[in-house]
Amino acid sequence: MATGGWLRIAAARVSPPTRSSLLRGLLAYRWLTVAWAAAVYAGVQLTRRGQADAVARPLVGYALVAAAVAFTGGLSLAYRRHPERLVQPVVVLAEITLGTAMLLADNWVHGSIVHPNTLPSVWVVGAVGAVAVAGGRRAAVVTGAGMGLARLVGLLPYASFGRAVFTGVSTVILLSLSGWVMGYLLHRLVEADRSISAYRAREEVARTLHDGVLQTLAIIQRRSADTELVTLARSQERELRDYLFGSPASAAGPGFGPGAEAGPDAAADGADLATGLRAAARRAEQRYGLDVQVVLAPDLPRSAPDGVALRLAAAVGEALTNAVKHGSAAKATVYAEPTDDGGLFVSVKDDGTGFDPATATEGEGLTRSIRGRMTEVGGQVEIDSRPGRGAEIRLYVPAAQHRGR
Amino acid sequence: MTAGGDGKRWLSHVRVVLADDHPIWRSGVRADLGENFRVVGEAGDAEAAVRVIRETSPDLVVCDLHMPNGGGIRVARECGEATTIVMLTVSEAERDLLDAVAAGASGYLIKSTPPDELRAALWRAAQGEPVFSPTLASLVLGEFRRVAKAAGGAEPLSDREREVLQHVARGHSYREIGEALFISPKTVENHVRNILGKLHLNRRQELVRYALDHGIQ
Repeated sequence: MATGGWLRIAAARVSPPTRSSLLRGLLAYRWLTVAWAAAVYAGVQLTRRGQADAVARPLVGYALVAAAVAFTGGLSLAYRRHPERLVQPVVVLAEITLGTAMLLADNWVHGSIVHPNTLPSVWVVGAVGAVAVAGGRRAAVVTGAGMGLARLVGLLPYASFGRAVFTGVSTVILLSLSGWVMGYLLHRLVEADRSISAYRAREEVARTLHDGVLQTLAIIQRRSADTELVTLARSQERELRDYLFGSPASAAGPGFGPGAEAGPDAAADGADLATGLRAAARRAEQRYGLDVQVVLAPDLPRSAPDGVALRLAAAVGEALTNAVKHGSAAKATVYAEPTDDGGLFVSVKDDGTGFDPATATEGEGLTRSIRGRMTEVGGQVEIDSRPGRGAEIRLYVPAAQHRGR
Repeated sequence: MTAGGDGKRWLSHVRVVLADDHPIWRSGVRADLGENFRVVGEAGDAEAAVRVIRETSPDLVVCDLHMPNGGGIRVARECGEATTIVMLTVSEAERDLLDAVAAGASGYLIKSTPPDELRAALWRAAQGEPVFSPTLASLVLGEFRRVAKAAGGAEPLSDREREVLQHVARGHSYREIGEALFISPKTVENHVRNILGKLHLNRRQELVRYALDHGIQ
């Protein structure tokens, strides 16, 4: 069957969850409208009994309305077993046939042209929707127009030609337009679905590629004796890693952690904290060949007010310089986390020679300028070192400062 | 979680299984391991890794996080109780690492770790010491802050455990932490092991809760 063929091809385009929610929606629509149609028909039949405008063939009318209710019930059962049955060509054609028959018979049943609703009322739009899901926009428009013509044909024996055409054509327009609208929305849904899955696929490929590149850079660092090449590979690896796993705020997600509490205003006018700390670390790596690991808490606020972020980054940079110049350090760890009271904690730990904080004068200028920067934002500095044990500089910025204003 | 009753085993040489889908990487690590390690088996995917581990009962498994047939997570889940598993990974994505550790891995190392550090870390891991990098410690701290905020009976860290974990995140060695907190390095290790146990438990509870909330049987 040719129709079955194109119906099925077109049907394969929307993603399954989108399809089944659409079909469920159409089902709910059918129940509401079929209930409305049945109530109106019963009301008209009962109130006009014995009068001049009484329903001419009440039993046929009840049979047709009952058929629509039964058909809707059958669709519900079919949906529960397998949603796709609702858009099988046979089922869709059966619904179109029933709807068309009801529109054709409407005036024959009522006997008078003046009544509030046609027999099926807007229940027939459900069939047009099913065609839109199964076959797309054009098929839905054609179906809607065809069913509207059935209304016109059903009217001809009972009304003047002009009136039949006027009413028929407005039904044609109503039904084909709803077919077009549903088809158009579906078309956009299909496009959205398609671009989402294309995006996901690309992301998956990118992930594999990135892993491969990181792996290759790691192999170069292990296997190459060329120190320049190793340094290049290492800095490239860092950059890619920062880019991939970098932003702690994005890893934490919205609505979680002090970053979320600090609110949109902190993010809007503040400077990027993570970027500043990483830039300071990278500068020390490039300048002194110091191996700096930057460890950021997953719930570190994305940003801090300009003054705080800049001063923290500058203080970290000075601490790293200090570690190389006075401690001959080869490695350092920069760590940053939010504190319980909503402030910030940043530490710089090195593996250098260390010093006795009580007697040391070397590097005093540097530590003084670190203290100065922290005092400006109401923060504190702790310096912890012992000869032979490296040094650690700890910076605290309280909540009031870090949230700004 | 980690093998051995008190967590310490003294080994003359460590029997290792290497699992990674890139042969060039396996040969590279094999060359770097040196004479204290003996590679008793290799695997190119998670399924083969589980089989080889069951056949050879190694002291240590060095395992890539991303492998075909279930990856390192599957290996950790199926063999984490019986042997020590260290994840070797290029990925520092938060979820990957927490999943690996919650599944039963003793820790992870980044693939670009220099050979001497790799050797030292794997040696300590084989002796039963959890291999906690600063990054992992900071992720675990963040995870506990998260579950503490989310309602639901997750077990929180004790103040001491938090202190230990924060020191690891700041780049301190277990020995340095012990000196700073006036406890023995062995006590530090025990704290880290307890932290891993709590993480494991909380993760499992969360999975159960998630399943209940979403009606998954």
